[in-house]
Amino acid sequence: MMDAEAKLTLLKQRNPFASSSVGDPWDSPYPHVPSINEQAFDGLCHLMAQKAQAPALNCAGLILGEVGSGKTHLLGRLLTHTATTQPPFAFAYIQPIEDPEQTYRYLLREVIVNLCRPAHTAPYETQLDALLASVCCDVIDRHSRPQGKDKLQAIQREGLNVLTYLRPAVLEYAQKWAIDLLCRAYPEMSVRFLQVLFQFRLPEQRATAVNWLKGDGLDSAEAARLGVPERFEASSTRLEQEARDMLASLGLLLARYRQPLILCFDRLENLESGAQVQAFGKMVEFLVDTAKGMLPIACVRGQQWQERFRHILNQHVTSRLETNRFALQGCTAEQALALVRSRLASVLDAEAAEAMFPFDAEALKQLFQSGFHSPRVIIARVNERLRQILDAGVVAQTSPSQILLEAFDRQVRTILQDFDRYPPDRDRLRRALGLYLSYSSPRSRGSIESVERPETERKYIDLVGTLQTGSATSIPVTILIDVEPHSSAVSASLTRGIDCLGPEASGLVVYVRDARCPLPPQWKTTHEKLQRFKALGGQVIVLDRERAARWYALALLSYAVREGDITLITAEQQLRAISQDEFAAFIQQAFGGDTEFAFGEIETRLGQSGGSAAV
Amino acid sequence: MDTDPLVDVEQLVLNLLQKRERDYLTVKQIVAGLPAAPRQRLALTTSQSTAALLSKLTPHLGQHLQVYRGSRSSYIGRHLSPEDLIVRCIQQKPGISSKQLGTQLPMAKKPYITALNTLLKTGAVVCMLRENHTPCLMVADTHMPLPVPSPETLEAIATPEARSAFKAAYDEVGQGGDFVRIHRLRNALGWSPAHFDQILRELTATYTVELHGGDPSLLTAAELRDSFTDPHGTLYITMSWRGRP
Repeated sequence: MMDAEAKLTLLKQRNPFASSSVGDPWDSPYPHVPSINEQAFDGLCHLMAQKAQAPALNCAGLILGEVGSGKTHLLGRLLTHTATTQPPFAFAYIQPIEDPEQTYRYLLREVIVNLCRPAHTAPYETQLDALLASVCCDVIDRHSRPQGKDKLQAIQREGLNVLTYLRPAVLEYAQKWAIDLLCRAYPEMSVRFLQVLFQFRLPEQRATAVNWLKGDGLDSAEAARLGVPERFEASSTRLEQEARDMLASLGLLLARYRQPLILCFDRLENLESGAQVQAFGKMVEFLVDTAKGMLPIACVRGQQWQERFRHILNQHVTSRLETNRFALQGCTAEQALALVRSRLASVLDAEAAEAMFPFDAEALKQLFQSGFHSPRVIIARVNERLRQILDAGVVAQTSPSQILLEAFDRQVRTILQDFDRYPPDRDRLRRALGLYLSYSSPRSRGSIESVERPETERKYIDLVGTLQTGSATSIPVTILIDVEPHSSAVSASLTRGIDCLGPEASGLVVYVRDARCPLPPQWKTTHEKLQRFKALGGQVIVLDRERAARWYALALLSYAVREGDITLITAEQQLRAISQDEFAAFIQQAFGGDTEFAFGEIETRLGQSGGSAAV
Repeated sequence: MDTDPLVDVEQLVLNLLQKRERDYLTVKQIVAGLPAAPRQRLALTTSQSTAALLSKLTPHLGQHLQVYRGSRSSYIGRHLSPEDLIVRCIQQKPGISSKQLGTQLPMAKKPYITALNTLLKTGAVVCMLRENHTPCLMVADTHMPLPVPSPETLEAIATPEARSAFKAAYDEVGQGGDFVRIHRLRNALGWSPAHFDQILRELTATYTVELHGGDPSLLTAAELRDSFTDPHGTLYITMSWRGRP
């Protein structure tokens, strides 16, 4: 058994109270305390059970709770629960939507990205594999002889991956049978969706199939290989309709094969405009009324729901959400102690955790018996006490910038660990760049002012602003962010960049691209256009893995700050959320003028342009 | 622009306390220290009785001030809990004896001893004996959060009538919602700030209501001021009724 000193050392190395925020339910490292928010959890489990019994049931759930009340942790608990339900639920965690003009495409992309995450139960690699296996079993069982049926049942009984037992020829038959069966049963089923879903199984086609299923555009060669029409020429309305049809088809499969999907909409405070809130409402309405087998759950701050969302969303949506409303409740003193004990048990042995080492249980109880306390307040206060014990009473105050930097670094690490879960995303890159340009410190060669999203030309141009140089010269700045994989789309974007440069090349035009969307050498015309863009003075920035991760991390961190998820304890022992001003100061401090950091390349390019303009 | 005379008086008293570097003053000291204009506007003279002066001043004290009733006189001071008052006084006069401290604080003996014992029990204040056996008080080196009074130590004022009035106001203001703004409740009830805070503390301590942080960016400065700040300094904006109706 460890002595007290060893236990303290362990707590210092792995402080279980260091974080009071669950950034993402997929990555929640902390144990659940059954009694906390038990009513809400039980209610949601009943709702899931009902949905599993009747996948066509039109229902949704609403979790109301203020900052730190455990909304995201509750989602993590539901995620754990999905693995134990019979049938197992699929799970999708949906970040807030940025562009309301792409509502269904965004929803489709988020759903497919989540379904392609590693499944939490064997034998299937991903949740999408499990669904495809169910389709295959269904049709093979219908068309097999008794001997084949027995073999199939034996594979299933043993809990083995059916898909690995299917030869390519059998898979081809299965695809044909599935299309016949499912399109006859459901006239609204998309044949193309089924065709691509079956190609997802083929290793050489898997990545392309996933991209198509997410709603991405493919280049001509990839589209031809997959046997699907190109999306580049399609209008926004057409693409939205296609995404909607694919979601509806997916829902039919989920319902038929009893693999319901729970979709959790979190961090909704980040829906800044009325249009974004309405886009969220449109998704909920579609999921409840049209898509089968999908159960939307929304997490909103109570006050925001009552004073904002209810007044923007139509009654059709609010009534659907409020029918199954669960208000989270703070912890009693006993629950607070249980929470502390469970966190201690994640580091120390059971006996030490039970004894609440190194705390005085009675003093902690007294601290928390003044009423309900949110889990975040409890963890933050206990963390302060632990730090006082570990540091012999001297607690160094952590600055907001330090806290934000730690949260940012954590987010970067999370992204890099599972980079595929954060696919190239123009909206989030725009958000990150907008934050950086708005708040980073003035550069030696000038500063960017009035950064905004243009009212027109939004299809290609992401941000416009003005570079004020030391010589009082103003240079218009145009930024194009492009993650399109189709040569025509890239060419069109570069053409717009060339147009912005103009004949005298008086402005600064920056073309940003995620390195995961390379320009293949065979796109000769596109490469020529890129050279012309550069020759006219256009700046090209290709974000490598490390740098892209930092951009995405900044966008996600801004969601967390907006939600009040990043907190600190002041010198007066007050727990409070990091403010937007402190976040702005952090961006200025962490990224401004540092050419080696996340935005170094942008910084260098702007500096060069400011210099040349001044000359 | 019209100025709010009520805010003026509150601010003037706060300025006076800051100037004198005190947390509280007797009612007559406050009146004497006010500028002539507000004194005339409220018809205040030092020749009036303390009770008469208090009846005129109390409605104007706002969120940041409260009336303290000591064993010998009445005081007006910053809105502080008994524990805060004691700690601040000891910080100003480290080593003060418990008896001396008692005579200087604007509170009766019983609540003073109760609050001091709470501070000693939690270690926020330490007691040492001088050579002549006089107990003298010091604030602990490590600043710990001030303890929140337990339900037993509160002088219960949440009578069934007060509780019913609170619940009725909650229902009316909230119109069926789960998250009711505290400043609206405060305004609807019209109680003195200290009375409202005390009732709210009692209802919180008995798990009858739950306080929430809410979103301060949605509130004006006045609404924030009329919300509720606990002894740890945490701001609460909305509340939910959790107890029996």
